[in-house]
Amino acid sequence: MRIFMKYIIRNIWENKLRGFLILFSLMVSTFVVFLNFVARDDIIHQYETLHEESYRGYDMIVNHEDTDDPFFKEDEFKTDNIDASNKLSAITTFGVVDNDELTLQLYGCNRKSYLDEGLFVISEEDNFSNSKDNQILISPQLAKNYGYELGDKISIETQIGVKEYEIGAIAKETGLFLGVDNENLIVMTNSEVEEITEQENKSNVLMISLADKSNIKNSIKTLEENNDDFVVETLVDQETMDSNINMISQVLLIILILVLLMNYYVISSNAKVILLSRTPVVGTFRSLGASKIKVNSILVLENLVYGLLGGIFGVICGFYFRETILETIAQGVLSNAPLGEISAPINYVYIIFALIFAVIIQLISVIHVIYHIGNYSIKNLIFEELSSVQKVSIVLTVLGFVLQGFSYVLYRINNSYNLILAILALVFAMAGGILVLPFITKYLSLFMTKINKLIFGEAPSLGTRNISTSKIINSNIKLVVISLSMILMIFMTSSSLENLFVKAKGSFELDLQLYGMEKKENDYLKLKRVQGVKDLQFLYSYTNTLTVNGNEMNLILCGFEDERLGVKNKDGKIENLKNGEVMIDEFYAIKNGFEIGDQLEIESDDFKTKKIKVEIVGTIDSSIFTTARNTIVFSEDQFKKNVSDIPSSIYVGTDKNLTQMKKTLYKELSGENITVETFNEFIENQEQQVSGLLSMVWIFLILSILLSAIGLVNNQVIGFIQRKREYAVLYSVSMSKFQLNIMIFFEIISSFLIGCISGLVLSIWMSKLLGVLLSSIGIYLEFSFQWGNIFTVVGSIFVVLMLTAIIPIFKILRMNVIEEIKYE
Amino acid sequence: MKKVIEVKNLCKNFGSGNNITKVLKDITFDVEDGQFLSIMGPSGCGKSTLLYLMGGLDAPTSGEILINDRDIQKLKDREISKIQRSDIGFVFQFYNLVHNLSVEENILLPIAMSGQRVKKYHKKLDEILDIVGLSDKRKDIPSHLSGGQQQRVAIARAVITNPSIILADEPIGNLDSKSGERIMELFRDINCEYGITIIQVTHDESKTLYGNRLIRLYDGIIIEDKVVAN
Repeated sequence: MRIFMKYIIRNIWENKLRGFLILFSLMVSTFVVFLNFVARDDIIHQYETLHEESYRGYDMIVNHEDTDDPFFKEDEFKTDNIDASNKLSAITTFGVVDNDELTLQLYGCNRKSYLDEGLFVISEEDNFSNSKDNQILISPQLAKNYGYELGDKISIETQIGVKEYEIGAIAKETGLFLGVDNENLIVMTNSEVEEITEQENKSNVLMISLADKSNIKNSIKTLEENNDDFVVETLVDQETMDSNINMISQVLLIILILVLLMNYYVISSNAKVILLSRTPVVGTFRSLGASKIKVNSILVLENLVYGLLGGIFGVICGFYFRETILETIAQGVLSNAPLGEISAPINYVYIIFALIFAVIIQLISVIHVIYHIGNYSIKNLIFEELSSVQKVSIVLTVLGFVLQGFSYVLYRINNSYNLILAILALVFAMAGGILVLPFITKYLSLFMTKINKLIFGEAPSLGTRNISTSKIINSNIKLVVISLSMILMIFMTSSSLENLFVKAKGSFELDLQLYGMEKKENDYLKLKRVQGVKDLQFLYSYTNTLTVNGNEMNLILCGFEDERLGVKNKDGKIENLKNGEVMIDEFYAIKNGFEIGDQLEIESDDFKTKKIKVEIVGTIDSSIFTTARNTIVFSEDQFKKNVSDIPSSIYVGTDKNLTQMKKTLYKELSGENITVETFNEFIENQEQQVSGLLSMVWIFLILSILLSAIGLVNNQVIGFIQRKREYAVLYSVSMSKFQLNIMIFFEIISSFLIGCISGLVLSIWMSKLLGVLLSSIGIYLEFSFQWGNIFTVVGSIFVVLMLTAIIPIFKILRMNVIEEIKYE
Repeated sequence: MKKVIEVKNLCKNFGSGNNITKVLKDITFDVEDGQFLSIMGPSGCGKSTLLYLMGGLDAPTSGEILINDRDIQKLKDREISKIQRSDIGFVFQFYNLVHNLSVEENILLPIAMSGQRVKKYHKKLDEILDIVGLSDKRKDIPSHLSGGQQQRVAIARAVITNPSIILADEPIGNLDSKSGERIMELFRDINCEYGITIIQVTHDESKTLYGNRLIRLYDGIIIEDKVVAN
């Protein structure tokens, strides 16, 4: 056994470059698998940790239902029927820092109680008085972002005018200041905020902790039943957490599929070359009495070592980079989760599964080669009498076309955008494409042989003819096709996304968007009188998970009077909508099986009337409004009546400088937590989210593509070594070195041309399938093929590929012909 | 004398369909225990093919090959491997050593293949290394040795399991004459001292004189089978 282990380790060491390619591919694949495993635990752990550290055991938050009059006396809220262990109240309002675009939440509370509970933590050295009204406590993030220091004075524009405060303490990054949610929160005394809001002994926030933590849902139900005018929510939003877990898992799954599609071939082709280079040794082992099973076991063991090593590297990467990657994905697909700062303790079962996965991938990639080697006679193995001629297998070609057929059928029948069907269609398309490639290569090369003979003569035509029979050239074509189709697929997705945002910019008419309003439309009509405001539009929309006909769905409900914000009529007209009627996005309707005429019962505790019964009377296209296309449009009247009469956004048109207008609006709206942003900022924000996700896919793909590029150059070198005797014979019988180089040049140019054409065709088909896959996770993209750009990418890759032809040409010039043919 | 190999009506064809080449045509002969047989003939006459068929490295188209009374065509892969481990030692023209294992590791490979503890064979290894004259090279890897030395490693590997038969395919075809003669002397010593049956394929008539029997093949048929006087 020791001899075999030595042999295996020395083999791995001797095949450093190919071994590196295999290990790197395995590492990337295992890393992504590991992320898939740990993501769920990490998200849950982060929510739990954030909850524990932020709220110190408080379970729920209570607000007054009436946002026009949010203040209440603590004894108005009845907690008699639940087992509350503690309660803490606060009174909050908003203020704006003078001359700054900064809205602050002014948080009035019993500062001693909050400090005792650990909801705020300050340094013992801070000379901070809990009762001084003019002293405030600020967040560490605010101090860092705006350069505030202890003792600084801050002027805040409040409802009762500008007031000046001294920073008495800068809190530590824990308790309510953990994460970024409360970075603009200023802790004041109760009496100070009561004075600003002109209230007495009232609060608008109440936090409750329960003695029995397992009974939170029931307690909320009881509290809501006993307190009609109040909204009670858990501090950990289970629905949001589940939806985030779901979204991140789906994105990671897509990345995994793409990485596996790419890496499988890199691993398989490199391992194949390593194994085939070892056939004489395998033959020798067999001649020394090793059975097929014994030799196969040695080869399997060697690949098991590769699998384990690649797996270990992947898991190590997982340990070091999982926070960064999950954070980037979370930024890309979620808007409300500060992920990536805390990781859950690793479950060792995941490590074992990740390692098993790496070993399985490696073994699946090579098992057919090992089986194939086992079927040769010992004599064939010893004398390397293995066929290097590429044969077109009828069975595999037919299977390839059948898989493509399956892929097309799945594409056609997947009207409901099922994720599994979309993944299968993509995998079948890739596998089918690779299987039919030898067939396409053979006939394309024979066609090109005739053309070359007519135009360029004998040597170029011989070069092209070699393609149809050479295994190594076919292997190169496969590498080109896989890499190119992946590059093009992602390129087309990116440009479609860019295109979407360009279109979205054009459909927004006004200049500034305001959100975070808590009052009705009438309260904001005053903005019309602000100097520079030319136009004012209100948007009524509601985004959340709600229940539709008993099923939970994440939807955007809008109240429109006409087409706007990129939402267009498809079947029916928004302006004709009456009470009891809605229009639904046509894509979302197909995906979820809704049709015109269907009755919907939409429920949410947030609605003004908890249940809304409507009929679908038409369809819309909301692809520009939201990439998820999960839009239902009501008439504005019905929306205000049943859903909410508080505008979700206000759009402001102005002829003034946008920065100046932002400041003016902030001042005008002091006392409210309103954010003002320009449309460019809004679009950039949106773009950043999705392009962050695409960058992640790009990173993994570029890594894989790099591996295939190295594999390609390596194949050129191996190809030359394998065929140099053939070159020498051709040289000795009549061909000049110049003609040989012409032959090789045409061989390479034609093979890459075949690779690029096939890759282009496959990538167009796979882009369509990727579109379905993205749609199935809620990112709808209408693919636009910008042929100019696509051909530029293909052309650039072709030129880069041609540079690899330099290696064999240079080697031919230096070849010692006598040395090569002396054994012939 | 006991027959260690019996070849009966052996045929071997290469190719398929209309493109069949008959390499061996109904060959029959026996090899007795302790013989040193040389098989000669021009290129393409089928002599190496015959050797590989006798060693179970390739399968015949028809006919029988009995090794120590066992028809190897009727045996399973595992049983053929067992015969190759215990009864047969191979020596090839291009040595076929494992390039990344040392001399002693190469010699001990058949022991490792059989799953036995190599430690038990250290004494025998020393003895064989002494016979082939490579005691001082035991830790070297094959690429540090000359062609003749590499062939001696291959012979040492062939005899470590104490086989009853050694099959050698042009064992000196890749060596200079001096090294070739030393290898042939080594074969003769092994044949005489250990009584191992040796069957060699050779091009060189003079090297048949190291053995005691000659079979001459021509176009897949035995045209001469005679005793050679040393």
